[in-house]
Amino acid sequence: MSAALLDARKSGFSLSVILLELLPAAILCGLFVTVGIVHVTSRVLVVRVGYDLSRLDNENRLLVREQEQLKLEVATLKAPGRLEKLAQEKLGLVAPAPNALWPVPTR
Amino acid sequence: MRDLKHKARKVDAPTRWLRVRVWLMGAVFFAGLLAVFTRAVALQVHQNDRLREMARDQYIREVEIAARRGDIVDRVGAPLAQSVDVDSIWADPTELPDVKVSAKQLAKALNLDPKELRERFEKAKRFVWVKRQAKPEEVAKVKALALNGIGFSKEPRRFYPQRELAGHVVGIVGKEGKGLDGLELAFEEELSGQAGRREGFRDAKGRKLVTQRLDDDAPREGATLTLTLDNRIQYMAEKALARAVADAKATAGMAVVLDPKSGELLALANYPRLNPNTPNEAHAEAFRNRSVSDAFEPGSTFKAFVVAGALEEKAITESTLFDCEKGAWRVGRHTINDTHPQGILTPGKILQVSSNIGAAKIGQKLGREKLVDYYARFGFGDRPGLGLPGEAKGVVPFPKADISLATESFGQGLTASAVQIAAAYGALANDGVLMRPYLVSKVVDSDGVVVLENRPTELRRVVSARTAKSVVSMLEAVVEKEGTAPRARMDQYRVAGKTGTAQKVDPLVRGYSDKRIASFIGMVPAENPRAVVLVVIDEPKTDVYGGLVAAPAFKEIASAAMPYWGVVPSRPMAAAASGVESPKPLEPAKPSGPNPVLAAIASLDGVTENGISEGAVRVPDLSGKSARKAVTQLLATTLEPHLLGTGRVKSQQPRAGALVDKGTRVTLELAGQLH
Repeated sequence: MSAALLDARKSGFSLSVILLELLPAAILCGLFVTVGIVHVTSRVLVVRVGYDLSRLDNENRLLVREQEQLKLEVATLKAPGRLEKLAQEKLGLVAPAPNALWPVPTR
Repeated sequence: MRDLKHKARKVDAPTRWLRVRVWLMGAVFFAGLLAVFTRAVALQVHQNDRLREMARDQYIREVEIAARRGDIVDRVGAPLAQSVDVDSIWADPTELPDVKVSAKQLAKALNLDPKELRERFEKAKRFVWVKRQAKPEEVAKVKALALNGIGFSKEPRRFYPQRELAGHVVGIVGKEGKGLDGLELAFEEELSGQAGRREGFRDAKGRKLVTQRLDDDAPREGATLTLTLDNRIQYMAEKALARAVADAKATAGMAVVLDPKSGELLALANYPRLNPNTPNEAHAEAFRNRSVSDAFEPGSTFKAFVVAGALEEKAITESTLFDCEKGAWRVGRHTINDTHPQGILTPGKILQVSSNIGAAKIGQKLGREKLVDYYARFGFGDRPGLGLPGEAKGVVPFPKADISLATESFGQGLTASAVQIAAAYGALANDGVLMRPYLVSKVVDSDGVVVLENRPTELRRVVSARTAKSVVSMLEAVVEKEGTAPRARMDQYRVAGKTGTAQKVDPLVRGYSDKRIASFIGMVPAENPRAVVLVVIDEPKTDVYGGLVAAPAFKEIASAAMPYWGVVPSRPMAAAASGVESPKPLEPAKPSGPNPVLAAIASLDGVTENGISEGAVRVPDLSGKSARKAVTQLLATTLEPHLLGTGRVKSQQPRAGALVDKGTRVTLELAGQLH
């Protein structure tokens, strides 16, 4: 026990009274520490989310780019000139004669 | 007391020294703090901006993200122009292991000139483009070289997936992504969008860390242009035109397909064709969008307007007789000739045999002022206003001399563009009402807001419905055996049309040359025209007459387009098969008696509804549905939804029940637009 506390006991103060006196300071310190931990944790989380966001943004752009390339490929594959050529060369089809098609009125 | 004073005096000397030292130390600390404070003020206040920028440069990376250029699509959403990011290759010459060897290796991989590449490396400091918008296989080859100092960056490149299809209309884009011709140039502002910026930290490991909301300064994609063109009709028109030009050994050609009821241009074809993917390989002549920018003397196709004007003004009647002077008629010191000498003819017969003398005499009856006025009312001398660069407006000079009046009556001595002629015939096909021709139906920005929308616009009534029907009826005789264009006759559909064979002016001789422009314009089916088709062949060599060189191309286009649209034939099947002409009342043809095709279909009841080819689907009816439900239903039907606005579905394109290819884009207009 420190000399100061002994002196305080001798002068009539009990330990509990002394601790009670120190409690607000302790609470304040605890509060500061807690706030500090929460702040640091939140910052760490924000940074981590930032990295995730960057990664996902990059991934999104790559997927959009891939989608655009696929759309272009589909459009190229469906070009009428290409389809006609394939139909003629690979399937042996021919364009119908002018009178071969006879549209009928829809009922 | 005295001792105490003495003692105090004794203590005083070191205390003073102590104080002095304290003061000294205080002063030193104060000076130090002052220096620190001054420096802090200098850094934080005076040099704040400069240092802030330096700091930003060191740890914040700001990246400019190029906006994706908007698409150009046809009326059913088939893409005609699309942008895709591709790799561009750059070099830092200071990092290259050996400039000479590297240049040689790169030139070989990229098919470049090694000497020129080496010179570029030697001139540049830290950055030089090696090849922009390189092909994937070229990028792979360069990556395989694994050279230091070579980098790759993504740049948007314009692709035209349908290659030459509508190449002149769509136009071209330069390496910098700016429109240089066609719609790419005309709608540069709408298509280009707005580049965005994104900033973030880059840590020691080079990882990016986003520090702002991703949508804060995101790039705005360019608007999508929806055209009135139908890529299938366009393809048919281009194919038929190319064949006609080759058969006639001509230098060039143009074809226009127009919906006369709405004024929509369904096809705008030109020959020579242009592939916008490789503009560097094209000849200068191939860049001309002739059907829009070339004004030429049209020839006899103009006779129909003279007859229409004269009928409307009651200057003539359908039975007025004109003496066609046995093929030669003197006007002042000039002589007008007919290819085939004719005697006394009615206006209908004049159109059928295309008599110049007959047309000139009708022009005389109509009068100079009225002739010019009717040409103007049909839209000649005015720009059609399609929005394309270099649109021709043509010239209709006032015919002061008698010979000018005569020649202008059969389409010589004045000029017009193919689009103007098609639109004017559209007025005859549309019961005398001229519709404004248009090419771009809609411009929709990336948020779905409609920036520009063209709808069918009635310009004016040119002639009465009765006059228009009467002229169309006369034009039906042109494709019969005695007419000038029997090759345009269709067995299934009634055709009304007119040939044109105009002499070309030779600027060197300042007079007409022996070169010709042959044309045929027709409307089909004549009783209720769905399309006006114009085919123009420039400088044909094998034959010069429109009925011989242009009419077959018309027939080819119309024969493909009519079944494609499901237009019910004008004539019953038996009549069509035997080539017998059915009566020609100007009423829509109604099937009389049991139609063998209908009977065959009826016997296969249920097949029509379910017998959809594997690649086709029927568009569901989405009207009144919420956006979410409509999208779900479209995706389930393997169709691509394209939403305009918010709320419930107000209208859809293509319409419910239409048969379309899988993956076709269905545009849904929702009630209420986004703001």
